[in-house]
Amino acid sequence: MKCWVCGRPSNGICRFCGRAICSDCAKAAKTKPFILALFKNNQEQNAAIVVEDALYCGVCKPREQAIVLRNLE
Amino acid sequence: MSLLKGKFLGWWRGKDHEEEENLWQALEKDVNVLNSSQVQTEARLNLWDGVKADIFLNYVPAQRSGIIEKEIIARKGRHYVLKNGITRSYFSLSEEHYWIWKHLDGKKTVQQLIVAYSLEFKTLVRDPSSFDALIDGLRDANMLSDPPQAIYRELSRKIREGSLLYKLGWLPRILLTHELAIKGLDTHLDRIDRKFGRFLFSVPIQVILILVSCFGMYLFLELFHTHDFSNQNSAGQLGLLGLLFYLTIVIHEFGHAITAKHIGCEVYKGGFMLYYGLPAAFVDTTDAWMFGKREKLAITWAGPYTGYMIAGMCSLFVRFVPLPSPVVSEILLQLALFAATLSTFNLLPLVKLDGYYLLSDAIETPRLRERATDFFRYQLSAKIKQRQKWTAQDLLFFTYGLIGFLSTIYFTWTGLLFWDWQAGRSVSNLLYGKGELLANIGSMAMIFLAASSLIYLLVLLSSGLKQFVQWLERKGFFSTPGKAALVVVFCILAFVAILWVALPQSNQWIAPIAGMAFFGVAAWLALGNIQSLRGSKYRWLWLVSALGLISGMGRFVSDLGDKLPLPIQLTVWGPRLLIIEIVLMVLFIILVGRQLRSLTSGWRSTSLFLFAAGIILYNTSFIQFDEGALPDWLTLPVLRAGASCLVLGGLIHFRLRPESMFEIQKLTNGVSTREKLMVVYNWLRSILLSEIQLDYGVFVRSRVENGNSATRRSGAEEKDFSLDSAAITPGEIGIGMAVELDELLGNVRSVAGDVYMRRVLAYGYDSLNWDLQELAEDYILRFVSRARGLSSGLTDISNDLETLIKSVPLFRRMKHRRLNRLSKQFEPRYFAPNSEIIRAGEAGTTFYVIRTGRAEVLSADGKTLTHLGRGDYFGEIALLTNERRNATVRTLTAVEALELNRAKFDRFIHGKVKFDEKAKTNFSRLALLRTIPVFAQLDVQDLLVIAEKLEPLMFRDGQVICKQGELGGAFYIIERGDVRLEIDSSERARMGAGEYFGEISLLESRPYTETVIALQPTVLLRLRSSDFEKLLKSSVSLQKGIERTSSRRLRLNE
Repeated sequence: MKCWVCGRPSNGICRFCGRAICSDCAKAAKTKPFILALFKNNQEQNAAIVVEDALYCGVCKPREQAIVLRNLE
Repeated sequence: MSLLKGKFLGWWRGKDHEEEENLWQALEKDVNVLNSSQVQTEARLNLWDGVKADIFLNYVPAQRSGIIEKEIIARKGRHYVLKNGITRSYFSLSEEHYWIWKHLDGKKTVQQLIVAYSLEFKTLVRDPSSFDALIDGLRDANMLSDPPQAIYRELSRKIREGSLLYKLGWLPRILLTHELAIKGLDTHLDRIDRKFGRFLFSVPIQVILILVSCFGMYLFLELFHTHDFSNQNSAGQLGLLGLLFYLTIVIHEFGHAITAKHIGCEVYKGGFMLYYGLPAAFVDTTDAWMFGKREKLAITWAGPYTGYMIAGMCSLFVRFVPLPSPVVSEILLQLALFAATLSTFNLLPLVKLDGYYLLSDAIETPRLRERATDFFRYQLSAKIKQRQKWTAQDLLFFTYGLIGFLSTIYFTWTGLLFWDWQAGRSVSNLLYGKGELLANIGSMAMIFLAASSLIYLLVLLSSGLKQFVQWLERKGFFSTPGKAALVVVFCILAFVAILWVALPQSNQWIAPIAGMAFFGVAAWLALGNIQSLRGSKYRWLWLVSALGLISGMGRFVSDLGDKLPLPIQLTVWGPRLLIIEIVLMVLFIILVGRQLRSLTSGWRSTSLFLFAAGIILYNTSFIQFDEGALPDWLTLPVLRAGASCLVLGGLIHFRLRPESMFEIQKLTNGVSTREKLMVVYNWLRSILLSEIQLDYGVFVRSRVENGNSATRRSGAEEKDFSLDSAAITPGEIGIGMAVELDELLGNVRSVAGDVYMRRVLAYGYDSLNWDLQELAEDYILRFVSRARGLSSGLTDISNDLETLIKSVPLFRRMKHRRLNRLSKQFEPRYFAPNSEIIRAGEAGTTFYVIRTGRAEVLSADGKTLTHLGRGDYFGEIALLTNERRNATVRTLTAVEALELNRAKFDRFIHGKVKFDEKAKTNFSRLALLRTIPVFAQLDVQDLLVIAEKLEPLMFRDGQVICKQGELGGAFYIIERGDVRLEIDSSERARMGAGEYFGEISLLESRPYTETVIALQPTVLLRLRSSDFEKLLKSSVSLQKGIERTSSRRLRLNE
């Protein structure tokens, strides 16, 4: 698979969107923390298991603001 | 359109209208704009479209309550500022964005807002992402009812703060920037302003203060020329100076704060701070956003103005007021100096201090620096190339950017000089000072700061230089010797000019350190060139030069020797190192001279010439330095030109390619795969041959090209990679090219060695663009065994070979290193569909493993016995015996098979490569087992399994091995020695090496029919029945083989 950004042979897949990315473009995009699982811990706090430096393509936009899914209501 | 607008706005304002089919309603249906229950949309959103819409377009933003709005009228137009008093955040809006802000009532979706905006401003919003940015910005600034969420930022922060490195770095972080805010500062300032503000800011007082400042500054400038401000040497005096300096900073910030308060701003934060380790003060006057240009300028100007006021007042005091002691006068003058210097420095518009903000606010151009940088980076070249008209703003950005760039260089250099002077003083103080503790601590801190700053600058500089060289390379500046020479000359002249202006005289520390740095870099490049030329005798040239440069570095160290209080005398080494350096450099020049004759490639000769010129120039000027034969004004530039030649010469050699890769790219743009293959093949060939010619001469090149007498094939057809025939596929062309390339590499290897061959091939491969590298790998290099290791793809092919070979039971137990070596003995062979690989009845010496494709195994009478695919093997017996083929193998599809012939295998087994003793033993036992009828028909893997279970036993002369009548429990093969067989104590037969007995006990549990006695020291291989039964249970093929054998034996016995 070729890198989404530059078209060269890719080395990995963006953890957030699935785009292929080569190592040079990934280095430029920098890694991003990825949430593996969300749960409530013993103290009833929202906790997450994260991958600190997941591969990120730099193209997709993981939105930080939660959305209300009206179509599922 | 007005009808549409009327209808839409009517709906918007909630009036009822007749539902007539008109253009606007048709449009509404198409884009599904309205989310009202009054309108039935034809298209229903599916789940995923809904999610997509929910992300942004269906979002309903709402203003947060309590937001203060302020309209600011400026020369360039009107804009608005929002303020959240609780979170103390601000947001600036243009008129259009303010209109959107006014409609964020929590009822309309973003999509509705976009439509309304389009209608209001009569502009089609092509890209909703601009709305996205606005909404996000408002939310992040806490202007919307939805709080901002920064999940990933929070995550990153928590992860960072949880790391050990972060925790350990608490002290540097505090020293770097740490604020100590004064609590309730706004209240305090409010009180001060109420008491004194009206008086202080009244017109008469301001006039007086202006006059005082102006006159006072005039006096100060007079005093500045007469007074010696540098006469402060003691720690106490230095400490007092520090306090005074800090006081001026505090007064400066107070000026900002009180002015802001008087105007009506809220001053949320202010106090003391540590700024890069130095004490400082700060005040937050962001609330000035809520005011107009005049107020903002007043607040910004207040800081420097306060400084001038203080300087003026102090000067007036010194001049006109009788002071009790000279110390007071000195303090006041120092205070005036600091205040004036700080204010003047702050007014510089090129750094982001008060002067910058004054300029930016005055011309109403926020983010001036960033926009000027963007103009240079993204717009300037287009403006020049396309000859676009320049606007006033373009001129502003260009001018500001250019001045900023030049001033950055100037300030950096000035800073370096300052640190050089300061570091020199600190080093002298440490080495030769009186040993005062505070002074020593101060000196060490100064040296530490100087060294850190220098290292940081050098890192920035080297990164910038690297990018510059890469940019030059991309633009093709190194593609021809002429262009490269231009670059070199330009660099040398620029460097000499810079040093001429900035450093007219070298001080006692700078010259040797700079010399060491230059020589060090040149030596490093020279050593890098050795590595890049590995395998070539040419590399010794650079080793000689590197050694000479290193001895030159040593000479600089010895120059410093008399300045350092060391127990050993370094200076005595100076002349010796100079001699070594000169000898090596002369040797280098001689070698270069000889090489230059054979060099035809311009870039390499350019770099060598440059390097040699650098050596000559540098050493000539160095000698002249003492002799004085050259005029003084010329000596130093010549010396520096020589040094830069050294570096550049090494750099060019290090960086360049013989041809630009972009030329190759041009040749292959838009052509077919076949033609690309041709280009790639010719390129790789030309690299190999040109490098050989450069290093070994034309004669050797022709020998390599045509093949030496041992390798030349007689009557070989000329290889024609004609692209005309459509019948030849690129794959087939690639295979042919691979064969030719492999032969050429073999010839290169025979002349120059394996290291040289691999290095040059890697050189040619690396200079290809990545897509041509892929092409070369896929079609050509994968079939060239010498190319393995060039890339991970080709290494994967090599690993694949090992995996395939390891699947063969013969090699299953081989360790990785040996397997790797064995895999190199295999040669790829390619067979067309429906062709015979081996034929039954013919003599065989080769063994095959199928890599790709399918084949069938046919018996001698043509019956299909089985099918073979990837990973299957055949012909293994040929590796061990001289037997003829017992089957035919014919391809069903195109097959790539790995071939190993017996000669190579024997060399591998018995040769220099250490082979596993156990495996070796097993192989030799294999041949022995095959001679035994019981095992004759078994497959190799079964035989190997049996061979592993054979136990060697030694018997001495006369020892009884087994007795007649004893229950048989083992089968024996005689490996060495002789035995006697007796029945009823009379000798019946004798057996020797390779013979066997007791096989019936394997097949049937019967007692031994003879007594067997060793006639001499004998070694037998024993296979116990119990082991044999276990093997039978575990191997179905062995069972079947033994069944066949035993039924045959039983038939024979009958």
